[in-house]
Amino acid sequence: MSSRKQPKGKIRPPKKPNSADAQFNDNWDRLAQAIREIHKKNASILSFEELYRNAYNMVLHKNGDKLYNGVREVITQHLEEVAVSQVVPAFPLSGASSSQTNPNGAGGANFLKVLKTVWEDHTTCMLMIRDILMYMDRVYAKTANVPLVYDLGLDLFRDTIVRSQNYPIQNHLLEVLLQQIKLERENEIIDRTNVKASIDMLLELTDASTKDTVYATDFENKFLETSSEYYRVEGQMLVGEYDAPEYMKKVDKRLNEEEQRVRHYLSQTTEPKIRNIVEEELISKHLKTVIEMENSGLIPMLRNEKMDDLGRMYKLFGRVVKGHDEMKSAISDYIRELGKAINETVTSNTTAEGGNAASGDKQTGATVAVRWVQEVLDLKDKFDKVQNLALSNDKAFQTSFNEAFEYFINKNSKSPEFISLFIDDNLKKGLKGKTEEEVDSVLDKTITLFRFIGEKDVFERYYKQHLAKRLLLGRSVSDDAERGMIGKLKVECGYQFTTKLEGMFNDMRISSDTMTDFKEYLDKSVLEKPKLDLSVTVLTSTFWPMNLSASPRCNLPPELTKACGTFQNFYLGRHSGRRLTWQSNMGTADIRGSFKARKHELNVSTYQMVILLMFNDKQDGESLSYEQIKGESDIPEADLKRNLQSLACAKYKILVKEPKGKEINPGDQFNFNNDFTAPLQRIKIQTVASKVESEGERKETREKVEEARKHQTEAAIVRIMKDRKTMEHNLLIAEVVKQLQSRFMPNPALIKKRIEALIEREYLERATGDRRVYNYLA
Amino acid sequence: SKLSQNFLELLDNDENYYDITIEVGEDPYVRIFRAHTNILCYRSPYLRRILASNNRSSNTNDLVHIRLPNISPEIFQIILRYIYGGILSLNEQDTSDILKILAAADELCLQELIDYLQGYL
Repeated sequence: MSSRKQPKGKIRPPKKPNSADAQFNDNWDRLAQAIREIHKKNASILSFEELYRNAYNMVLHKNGDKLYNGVREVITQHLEEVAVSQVVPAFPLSGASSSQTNPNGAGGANFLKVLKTVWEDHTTCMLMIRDILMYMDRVYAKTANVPLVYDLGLDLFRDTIVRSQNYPIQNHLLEVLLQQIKLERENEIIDRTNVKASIDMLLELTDASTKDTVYATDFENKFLETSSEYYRVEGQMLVGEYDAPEYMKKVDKRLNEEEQRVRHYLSQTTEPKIRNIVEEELISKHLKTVIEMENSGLIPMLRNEKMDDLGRMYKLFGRVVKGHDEMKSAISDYIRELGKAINETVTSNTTAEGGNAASGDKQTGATVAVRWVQEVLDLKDKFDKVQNLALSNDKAFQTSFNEAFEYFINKNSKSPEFISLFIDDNLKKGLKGKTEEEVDSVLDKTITLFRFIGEKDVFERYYKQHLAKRLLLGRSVSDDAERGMIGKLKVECGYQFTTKLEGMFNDMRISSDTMTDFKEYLDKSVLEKPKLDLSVTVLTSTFWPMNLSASPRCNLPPELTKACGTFQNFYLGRHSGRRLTWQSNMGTADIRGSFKARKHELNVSTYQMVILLMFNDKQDGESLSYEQIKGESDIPEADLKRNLQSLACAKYKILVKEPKGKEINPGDQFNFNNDFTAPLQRIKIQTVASKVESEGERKETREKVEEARKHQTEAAIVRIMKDRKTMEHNLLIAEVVKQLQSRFMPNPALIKKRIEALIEREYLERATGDRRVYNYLA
Repeated sequence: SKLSQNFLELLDNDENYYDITIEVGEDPYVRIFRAHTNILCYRSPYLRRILASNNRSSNTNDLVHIRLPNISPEIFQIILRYIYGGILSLNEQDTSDILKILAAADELCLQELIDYLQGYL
């Protein structure tokens, strides 16, 4: 500071001790007086610059601490006075705010109002004081590391008023606030502005030790505690008094109210906490109770399709951790239960008919299947609707629903057959009178059920059988629908699944071409023309579900045998190296029958034709016994029974059976029914084609499926091993399961057996060191 | 730029729009400056507080009058020009004057100016 302009004369050394002190005292007196004036709301008489300069000088002369402490004292003093003169007299009557004499909390409200004024006055004053002491804030407070003067004011307010040691202001304040909130919860109208002012005040004050707001340390916990107590009581009361939809409405309302409350006069930080409390007390604790409420819980809601209530439940329960889980498991259980019921009606029906499907009312067998599928579809529709309308398509719910469906559908071992039968039924007759879209939607739905089936290979087998019958017997209503269905299956299961089905279609097409050629060939040839029109469908044996080795024998009439021979010559002439096997159990024939009344054209199966032709040689009234027919025709017994049944016991009785009855038994006598009449010229004799399998047949199908699975499993194992060369047992099993599960769920024991079989046949070997590892042998 | 020049012209020549007079210095070295509250407000937190508390006390359209006796007119002139124009040339000043400016800037809470001066010294 060496400078040339010193003459102006600051005589520094002597001034310091005495006159600085004196000046300080002088200045301080004036400042203190000014602060007091500010407190008295007389700020307008003060000169700001002067006071600022005073403070400035004090700080400049290193008296910051004195000034600071002095200010603290003056403010404290003032606040003490305020506490005594204003706050304490405003205490709500008799201290206990819960007292019944003061039900609407008017005293409390008044108390809050006083506190609000006090607070507002204090903050205004502090703003002015801060202005005066700005220099102190800037220079002293920073270096001395003490709170700025405004914050000092807040701290002082906290310690002398809000947490006063001398008066129970804090207790009163908290009690009054809680009481006000309680009143509002009970639908009283309170003065929210006063409550808000107090809350804001608490929010602005900081707790010295936690650095958190006083609101958080003093008020919030108490508030949450009382709320949780309040809602515990309310929850119990509501659960006892209301049914589930009503209860949920109340809860919804409460949640909204609390949210509103927080928004209006509490801190945003409280929002999640209070929400948790309400959720905990009103939802979590009563989850099960509400779900299981009789006549109004989750299940009745589902039963009565109360979408609004379900939606509300979904929304509310989604708020708590286990809510949706509980709902999901409850609904899944319900689905399983319903599914079980459906399964049970079906099984009870089928068992009632006895395992004797061959002779029972077969139509019912199919109806049972159709009904089962229809019921499952209805159930699925219903839950899809629930899912859509109430559960906002929640994926998790969808999955658990699907699991439930899968569970009970696979619980019914006949489900693949039933679904195939259902499709069969629809493609055969159900589609009449339905538009293409309807057909499509029915089939689409069926596909969704198909997805649930674990044993897709079983389904494939049945579907093939049913499709074969539809194609050969010309039962299919629409080729497009058939192809559409196969297309859908292809999308679901891939190319492999449907190659054979498509192959069947191909055979049909090629056969019709072949037949045209055959006709030409006959026209041109010099050979004797057969006396009948023969139409042959050539099937590729691997595509069609039939048993070549056990090709059914049957003694065909000579005309027919001859015609067959002609075709055989023709066909083998064109395609060398093929073998034709006649499947007489699948053919149909048009024959003309003369009855007393008129002639009829009968469309019958090949077997029926064979049977009927036997009666050609007989006199009127002469009868044939079951054994005779069986011996002459050589038709397999089950087929014979079925065909006789359709001739003698069905709608059109071409034959008359002695004794009468629905069942065909050995020893029965048959007569040609000369008196037969029918309104139509052309009659189709229905052979009951699609039916639920009998136990024996089912067993057979099972075995076939098992056999097929063995091959598929082996193929999968070899495929994998060829790729990997060496693999650990568990990994191999897992990989095989992964590859096969789109068709069926392989059993690990089965896989293990197959592996052993492959080792025996030297496709694989166990590794020398580790017996759990396999090597592939090329 | 033109902006700071225009502001300085405003400070020097304005006869119509000034709304504050500032009395600076101690007897007998007193000088009265004319200025504009809105400009002062936004340049110095100290002046803003002063003007705010003045407004609070007297809600009239009168000229505001404030006193700053502990700053010398020459120094305040420099500071005022800084407030208006955002510039000051220190080359003409000797160090003691600069220290005085610094002290005044400190009192008036002109943080930018304080930093600048300290950097310069």
